[in-house]
Amino acid sequence: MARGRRLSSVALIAACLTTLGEARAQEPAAPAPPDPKVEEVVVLGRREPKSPTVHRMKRDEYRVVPGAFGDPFRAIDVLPGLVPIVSGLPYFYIRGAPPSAVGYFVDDVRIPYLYHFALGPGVIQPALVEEVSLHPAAFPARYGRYAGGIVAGTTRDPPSELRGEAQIRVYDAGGYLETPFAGGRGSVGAGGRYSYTAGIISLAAQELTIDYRDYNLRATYDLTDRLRLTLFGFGSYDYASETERGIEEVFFASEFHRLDLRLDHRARDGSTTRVATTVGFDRTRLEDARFAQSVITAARARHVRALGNEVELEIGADVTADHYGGDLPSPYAVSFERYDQAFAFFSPRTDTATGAWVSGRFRPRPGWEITGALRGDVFTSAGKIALGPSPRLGVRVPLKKEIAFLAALGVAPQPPAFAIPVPAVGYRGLPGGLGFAYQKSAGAEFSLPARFTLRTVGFHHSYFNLRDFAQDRGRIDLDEPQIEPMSPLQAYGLEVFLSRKLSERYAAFMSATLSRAQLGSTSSDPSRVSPFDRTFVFQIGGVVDMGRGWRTSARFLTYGGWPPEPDEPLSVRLGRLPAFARGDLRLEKRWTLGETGFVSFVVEVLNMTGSKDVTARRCLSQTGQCEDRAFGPLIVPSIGVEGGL
Amino acid sequence: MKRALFFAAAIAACVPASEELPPTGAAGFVTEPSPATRGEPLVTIDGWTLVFEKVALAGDVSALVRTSGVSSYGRSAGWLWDAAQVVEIYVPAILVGPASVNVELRGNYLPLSRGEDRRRHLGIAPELADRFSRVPEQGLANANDYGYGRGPSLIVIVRAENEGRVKRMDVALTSGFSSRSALQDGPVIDIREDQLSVRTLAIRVEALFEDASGGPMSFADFAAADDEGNADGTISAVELLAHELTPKTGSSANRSTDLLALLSSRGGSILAPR
Repeated sequence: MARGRRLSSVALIAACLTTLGEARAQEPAAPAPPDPKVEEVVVLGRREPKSPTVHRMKRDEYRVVPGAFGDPFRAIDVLPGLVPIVSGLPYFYIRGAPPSAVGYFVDDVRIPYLYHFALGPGVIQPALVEEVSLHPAAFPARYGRYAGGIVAGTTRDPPSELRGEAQIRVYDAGGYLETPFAGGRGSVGAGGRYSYTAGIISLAAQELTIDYRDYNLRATYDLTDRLRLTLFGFGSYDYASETERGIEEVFFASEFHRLDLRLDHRARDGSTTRVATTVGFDRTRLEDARFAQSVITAARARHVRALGNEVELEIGADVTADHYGGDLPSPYAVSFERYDQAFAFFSPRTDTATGAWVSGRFRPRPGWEITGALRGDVFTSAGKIALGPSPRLGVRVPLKKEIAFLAALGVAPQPPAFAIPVPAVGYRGLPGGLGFAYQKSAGAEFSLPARFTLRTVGFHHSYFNLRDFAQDRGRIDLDEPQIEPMSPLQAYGLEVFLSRKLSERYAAFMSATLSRAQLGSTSSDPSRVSPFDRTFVFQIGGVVDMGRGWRTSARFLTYGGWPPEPDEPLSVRLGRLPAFARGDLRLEKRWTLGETGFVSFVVEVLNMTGSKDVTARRCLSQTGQCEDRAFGPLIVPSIGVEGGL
Repeated sequence: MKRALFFAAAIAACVPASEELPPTGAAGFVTEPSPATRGEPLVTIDGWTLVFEKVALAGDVSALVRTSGVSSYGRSAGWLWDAAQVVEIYVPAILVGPASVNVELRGNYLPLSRGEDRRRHLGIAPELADRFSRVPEQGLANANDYGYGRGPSLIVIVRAENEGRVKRMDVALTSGFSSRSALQDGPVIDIREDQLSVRTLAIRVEALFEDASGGPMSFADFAAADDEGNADGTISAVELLAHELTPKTGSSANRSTDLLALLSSRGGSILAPR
């Protein structure tokens, strides 16, 4: 019986299993799991060359520099090597080179100046600027025709979603808004700034009128995944005058406009090509309601290609034509000297500059970078031709993990340029020929604990045939129609820059420049200190993110006084003019809106210490007494609201 | 103080301040060279054929502007020009309105500092212009104790020929006379905005060889100066200086003089404003 029950159980189980299997066979099949979705993630990055000379500031750094008012091009004055002329003014001597020897570029487009008149903000909206870099020597090969330094701004990549920023301050308002379209293939942006300083200033000084405006426009379109077309337009307008006894005297009235169309191609092998063309218009008002103007047409192209893993090659060329024109006065109505000056600067003509270059970057090992470039430029003006070769070499060699050796050599030619950059004003006929700079520097970079970086560089630059108001024997002449080329100038010194990225929660910087600029120093031209020499420039500052949206930054700046004027014996006896020191402060309270939006209330003061800058000394031989004359105090407060998407 | 001016300009303007200027114009002369001045042959009474190869002048054009009432102000401009050409010499930047204008031959005070010669040049070759800034071979006129004196105001290069004899005279003369009274009493012209108002200036280089009364020309004394010197065919200023003239042939009946002084005294008479 037991055996029979076991058999029955087995049969029952088998029957159940069979039934179950049949039932399962009759059920509909379960759906197959979906294929995993593959998302393509594109990571774009810009490989930054570790140039031994360049200083860079990114968006999140320059915005917090106290006294810069959020402007990238003002923020660079924290960098070493810049010797200010007067506190607050955006004119510098860079390693001894005068302001006329400094070139300003935005996306490789040359512009006459970066700031509005006097203390005005930059001409490019901060929202559009990704990075600003200062090249004091051995510039990248695509930059040339300036013997001093290059200040270059690079705009941000087009957005993948709507973004913008706006600022409303006591004396001006501005903003920039950019949005993608066509499914992200294109983008379009517009912005600008409008000042209402006229109304504000008239409350305190009715006779003064200061007005400035600018605009920035950009449109991009990806023709293919690797081919982008960009149209970038921007311009600036400045006006300053004083009205006395019903007569308005215009100090400065100028405008410039640029329209740049470029095509960027990124090949599969990583090589990049850019071809671009630029048109521009500059105009400056002269005395008696006359104008100087120029139309600029330019084209440039460059190709960058990697030759293996260690070598990168760049070749390029550019050409610029400045079509000058101006309202010449009647030769009968003005003095001979004034007519000569007007003719020298404003007579109709076309000046050209054509350049070509080849550059190679060698990275044999991680951290190594050796860049050699050979550039040449040909200048023409009113039948005169000049050739300016410009070889350069930059070296960065890691000695140890935390220490790298830096060195740079370069030759930089420059055509004659007016002492202060002004649109549509240039010398006719290359008088006196090209100026040249011979640049030499060497130093080291240290990676320190707590993400600090220390860079120390010694430099020696020699300049020949440049123009500056500081001439022979310190004589300063503002009326010469063609200021003779300056005596040979040499500048030497030491730059020290200790910093922690300003975008960190706690950041600090210390910048020191010890230098000497000397005129002459040849057998026929005795050596003497440049009238604008400052023995030292020292800055120290910090940024603190205090949490809850509060961020504060402060800076202390001091620099040495000018040497005494050599033809004032009493002043010479007293030595240099007094040093200058000032403090800047910035306080921001930010409220976050959504994921990326923000509103900030910003209070910022340049020269909150109310310091005066001694610029002259007047001595009376009868009494033997001297009195220092000071400029200022130039205190610039800024209170405003900023917002961004 | 100079650096203060610099950065004031840096703040304010590096191009001239743009104010409305009062209306101004220019006053001066348009020259009218005689045929001889232009190089056409001229025959003297003693049979010499003169050809003036080069005549260059240095002078000051002066304008006296009459403002309201009896007040006035003067301006001048220096010129170097080729007398053979028709040119405009003038003073610019004069307020519109009535003005008197005159011209006189005048050399710079020599020696000059570098860049001090601000005269305008018209049709003058650089090497010829440079002679006006150099002390001539005969020395400076009325040089003071420090060695400063008036430089040349007239350079004449003339070729003379007579019956196969050829002489060449190349002299830099220091001539000039004050015409202040002439300026004040001269004709009044009206200065107009952005325009040049002119008088005619006749230039007769042949007046160098005329006596004070405008009498006929004679060249024999000049030729003799070379014969008495080194007889090389070139009449130099030194040879002219060495050739004394008797009163009957000199510019003055009361005292003797030399040929160089005679020429220099006649220099101003080659200009005749009309």
